[in-house]
Amino acid sequence: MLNHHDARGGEDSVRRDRAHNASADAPALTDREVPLGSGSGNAALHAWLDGEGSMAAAVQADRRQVEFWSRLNAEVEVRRQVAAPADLTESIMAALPDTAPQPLESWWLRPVSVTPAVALAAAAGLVVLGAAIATAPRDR
Amino acid sequence: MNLPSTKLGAVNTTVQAAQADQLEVDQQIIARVLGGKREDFALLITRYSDPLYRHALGMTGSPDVAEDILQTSFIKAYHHLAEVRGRFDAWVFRIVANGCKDWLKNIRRTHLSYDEDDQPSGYATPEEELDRTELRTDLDRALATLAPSLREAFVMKHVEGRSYEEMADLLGTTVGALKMRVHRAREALQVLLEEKYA
Repeated sequence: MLNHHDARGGEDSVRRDRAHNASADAPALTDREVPLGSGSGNAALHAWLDGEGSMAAAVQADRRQVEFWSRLNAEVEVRRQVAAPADLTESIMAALPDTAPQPLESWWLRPVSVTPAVALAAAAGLVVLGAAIATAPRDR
Repeated sequence: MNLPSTKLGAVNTTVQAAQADQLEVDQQIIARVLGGKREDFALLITRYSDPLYRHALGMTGSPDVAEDILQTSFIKAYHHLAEVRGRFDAWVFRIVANGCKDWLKNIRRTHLSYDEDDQPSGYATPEEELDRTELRTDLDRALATLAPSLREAFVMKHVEGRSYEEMADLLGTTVGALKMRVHRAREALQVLLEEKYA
């Protein structure tokens, strides 16, 4: 801020500060939506590749790019025919457990298994609770 | 290229009917598996393994890794089969897609450069290795440099040949966002490959 009063460089630094503040207010570069190639060539090319535009329009806009993507498409087409290995199903089935997967049940429908220790602890808890209630002072 | 709207309407109805049939068949199979017919799970694997394998292969670039991811995903799907709500194919796709992303995260963490040498070859024979053309290798390398979300969008659109609507349905995002990702992936690939091939 002191620089603003500098007789020689003051005005320049004010400009620099304004530019700095403007960029600080702007969202981070990574957060911005970067516009796609706005040229009509790019739009025609993407439209053709998306199956929404004609090849003729794309060629008219950029023949070189159409040739490049046609070449790439031929390679991609090969990949589109790829099938999973023939023995995949067999190997997955061999790796599965012998039992069928358990259907989901709501917790209140699941059977409750009580071990002797749990039963004993629950009984002791009830006795303590009962004793506490019985010995509690009554105001009335 | 453009179909008249009446024809488009007919196509959409046919696609919806096919999806409804597919859903019903899947649910019947799932009910049988949950009912104890474990072997019927093989039907679900057979129905969906090809597109899922293509996705995993496109994302990882390695047949071995793709096979491993599919195997792990189907085993996971089997254990959680009772949790399927709605479309099985979309549910299992998400398991595979997450498996691919996890693998990519790990490989990037361990091999920051992610050169071709870092990738398992996965091709069984020298002949298969030879069949791998230069363009194929370069495309794999270029795809490996893309961010996982761009790579996923490009692979789904171009390798799997899915529509934007289908992709949006599977990934739970908008058609506009996916178009943006695919366009960005194309532009990145163009920059990486056009000097040599354009």
